[in-house]
Amino acid sequence: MTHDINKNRGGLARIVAFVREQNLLIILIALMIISTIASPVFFTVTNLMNLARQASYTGILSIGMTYVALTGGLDLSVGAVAAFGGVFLAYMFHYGLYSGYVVTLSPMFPTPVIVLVTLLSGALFGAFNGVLIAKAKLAPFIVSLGTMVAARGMAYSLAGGRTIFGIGPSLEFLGSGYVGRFPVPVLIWLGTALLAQLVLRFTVYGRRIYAVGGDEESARLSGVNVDLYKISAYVISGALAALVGIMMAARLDQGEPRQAEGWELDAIAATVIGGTSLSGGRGAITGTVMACFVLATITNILNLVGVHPFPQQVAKGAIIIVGILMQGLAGRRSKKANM
Amino acid sequence: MADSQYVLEMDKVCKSFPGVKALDDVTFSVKRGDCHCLVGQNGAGKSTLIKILAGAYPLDLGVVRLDGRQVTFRSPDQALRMGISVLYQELALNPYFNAVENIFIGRELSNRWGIIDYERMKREAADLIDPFGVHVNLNVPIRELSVAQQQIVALAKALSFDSKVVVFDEPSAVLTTEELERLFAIIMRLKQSGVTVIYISHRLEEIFRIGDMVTVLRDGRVVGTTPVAEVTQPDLVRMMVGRDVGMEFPARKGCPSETYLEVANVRAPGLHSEASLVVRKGEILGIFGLVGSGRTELAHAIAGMSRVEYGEIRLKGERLSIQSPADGIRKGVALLPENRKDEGLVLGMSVAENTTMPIWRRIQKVGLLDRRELRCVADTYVNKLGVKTAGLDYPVRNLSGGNQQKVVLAKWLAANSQVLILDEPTRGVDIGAKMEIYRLVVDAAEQGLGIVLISSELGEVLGLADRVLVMRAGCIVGEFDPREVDQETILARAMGVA
Repeated sequence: MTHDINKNRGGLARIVAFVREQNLLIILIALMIISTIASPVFFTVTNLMNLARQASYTGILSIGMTYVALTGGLDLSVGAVAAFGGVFLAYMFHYGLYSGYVVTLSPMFPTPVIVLVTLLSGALFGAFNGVLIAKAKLAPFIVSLGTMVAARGMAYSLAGGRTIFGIGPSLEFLGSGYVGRFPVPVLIWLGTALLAQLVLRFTVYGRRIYAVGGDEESARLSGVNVDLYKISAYVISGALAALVGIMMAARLDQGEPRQAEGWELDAIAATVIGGTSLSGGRGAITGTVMACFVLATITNILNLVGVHPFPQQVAKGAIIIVGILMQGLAGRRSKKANM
Repeated sequence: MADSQYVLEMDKVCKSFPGVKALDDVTFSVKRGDCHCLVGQNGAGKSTLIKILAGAYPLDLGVVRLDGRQVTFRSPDQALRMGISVLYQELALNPYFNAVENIFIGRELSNRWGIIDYERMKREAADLIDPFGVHVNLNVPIRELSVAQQQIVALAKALSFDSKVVVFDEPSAVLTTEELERLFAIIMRLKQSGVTVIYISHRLEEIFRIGDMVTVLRDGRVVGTTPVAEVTQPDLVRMMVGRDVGMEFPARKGCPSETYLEVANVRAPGLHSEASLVVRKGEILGIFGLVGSGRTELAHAIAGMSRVEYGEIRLKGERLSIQSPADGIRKGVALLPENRKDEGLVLGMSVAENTTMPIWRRIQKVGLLDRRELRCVADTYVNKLGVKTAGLDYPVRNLSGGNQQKVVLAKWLAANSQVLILDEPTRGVDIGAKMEIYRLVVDAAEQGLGIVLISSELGEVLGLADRVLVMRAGCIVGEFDPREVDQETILARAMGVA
C-alpha cells in the first residue's frame, strides 16, 4: 500500500517513513542489542528459546485478542478461560484414570477427544461472550469481565479448590517437547500466528473482520452479517485461550485453577502495542507478535541482570505506556499527513 | 398491465417520528428508465422518503411496489438485493479500506477456499471507476482520498450492484463542474441501459439538465409531479416555498442598538471565503443556508468549536481570541448546537444539573456544589422558560425535544450569555414547542442579548430575524432585510439560481 507513495520520495524520506511504520521492529532490535551488551547470557540459543517459550502463552492469547479488537471488541475472559481449560483437561484425564482407562490413548476416551472437548469448552465461553455482545448489544468490557469471574470460579469448583496433579505422558510433547532446537509451544504460537495473519490478509472471512470493525454501518449496508463475524472473533479467542490452558497443563503436568491470572491484560497490552486499534478495523497479527517479543525481551533481560520482580513490574508498566504512546503518536502523525 | 410502466410506486406512504410527521400520505411513482428528480426544502421529507426506499426505515402506513409487486424491506441489504441502491449523502464507506475493498465489502470475489481474488477485484473496480475519467488511487485507504474521489468510489459501488433503481442523494454537493459532467454522462448511460434514476439535488439547474420528471415535496407532502419540460425554475421555487401555513411570529418591539459582536474577515475550516458579520445588542441576525452551505461551520468558528485560521472576533469592541467553547462561554458567547442530544445536553443528568452546568464554578463552595442554590437558579429559569418537566431532578433524556431545547436555552440564559448562537433551534421539535421557542428567542433579544439564528427553515428566519444573511458553498452571498424580501428571492440566492 505504502510503496506507491514511497516511490516518489527521496532516500532519506523513505528511511524516515520506514522507521515510522516499523517502529516496533526497530524497538525490538534496539532492545536486543542493549540486552546483548547488558548480559552475555542473553544472546544464546537456550535463553532465546526460553524467552520465546515464555512469550508463547500470552502470545497465543493475544492472537485471539487481536481478532476481537479488530471487530472493535475486548475479551477480558481469556486468562480465566485458559485456567478453566487446563483444569477441565486434567479433570477429564483423571476421570479416565479413575474409570480404569489408565492408558490415555485408549479408544474409549482418547487424548485427542479430550483435547478437542477442552478446545470446544473454550469456544463455548467465547460464543457466550460473542452472543451477548453482538446480539444483546452489551458492552464487551462488562460481558467478558463477568465471564472472566465465572470461568475462574468454574475452574476452582471443578478442581475442588486444589490442583489436579498428573495428566500423564501423552501430552508431554505438547508442553515440553522440542522439534530440533525449537520448543513445541513456540512452534504452536508462531504457526497459529502465521495462519491467523494469512486468514486476516487473504480470506473473505478476514477482510470482513476488518470491515465490521472499521465501519460497522457500512458493513451492514453492504450486506455483511455483522453479528456473525463479531461472535466468531470471540469464539476464536475462547478456543485459543483453551489451547493455552491445554499447553500449560501439559507442561506442568497438572490442572491449576490459579493459572494465567492477569494474562488477559498482557494480551491486551501486546495487541495495542502491536498497533491494533481497540476501536477496531486497523491492525495485524504481525504487530501483535512483535509486541509479544518486545514484552518478553524486557522481562527476560530484567531477570538476567537481576532486577527484583517488584520493580520489574514498574518498569514493564512504564514500557507498556511508552509503547502505546508511540503507537498513538505514529497514528496521529500519519493521519495529519493525509489531510 | 398499465402499472408495468412504473418500476417503483409508493402509495399513500406515511411516516412519523416522535413529534414530527415526516411523510404524510405520499404517493410517488417512477417510470422505468426515467430520471426522476426530487426537490424540496430541508425537512420536506426527501431524506425520509429515500431511507424508506432503501430499507433503512420501516414505514408506518402505505405500500411500496417494485415492478408492480408489493415489497417490504426489513434491512438495507434486502433493498439492495431487490435492486434498489442508494448513494447516500453521508458516504457509507469504511475509512480504512481502499477503494477496491470498499466496493466489494459483503460480496468479495474469492476462490472456493475463501481466499480473496484481489487481482480480479481490482480489475473489476478499475472497470467501474474508469468511466468517470478521474484518477483514483486504488491502493490507499479511502480516508486518504479527496471527498470527490470518495464520492466516486461510493458511486462505483452503488452502480456495481446492477440495480434496477439507483438513488442519488445530493451527489453534486462535493463534485467539481467537470466531475459533475461525467456524473451526468454516467446517468445518461444508465438510463439508456434501462436503469431508473432517482436524483435529489438542491441545484435546480441540474434537474433541467438531466431530469425527465420532477416531484416537489413540502412539509412531508407531495406538492406536485410534472415533466421537467413543462416547468421553469421559478415555478419549482414557488412550489417548494408554498404559502406559509399560518405561522404567527411574535412581534418585535425593541430596536437593535450598539454593536455587540463583530466578526471581521474570519477564515475557518469549512468556510471558503472570509466571513464578516455584525450582531447588535437586541438584534436577531438570521443566517439561512442549505445543508453544506457552511452555516454550522461559521457558528462553530464564532463559538470557539473550530480553529479560526485568521480574522478577528470582537465583543463590545474588545478583541476576543476564542480558542475553546469554555473560553467563549466565559466571555459571553454561547452556542446552542445543531445536535442538542450529543452536544447540547448531558442526557442522563437532571434538568437542574443541565441548566446550571456552565455556572457550577459560581455556585460552588470550597468545591462542593451548593445544591440549594443550584436548584434555586434552575427553578427560576425552568419557570421563566416554561420547561415542562416532572421535576428538577428528572433526567433530560425523558423530556420531549422542545423541552430539551428549552433546557439548553435556560442553561445559556442562566450563564448570562451576551451573544447566543442558535444553530437550528427548532429541529425535530413539534409545532407548539416551536412557537414557544420563537417567543423565548424574541424575549431574549428584547432583553438585550445579541442573537444569531441559523436555520434552514426559511419561514423561521424571515419571521424572526431583523436582518438575514444567506450562505452558499461556504461563503456569505447576500444580506437582506426580511421585511423587503420574499422567500423565493432568498431561496434562489441560497441555491445559486439567478
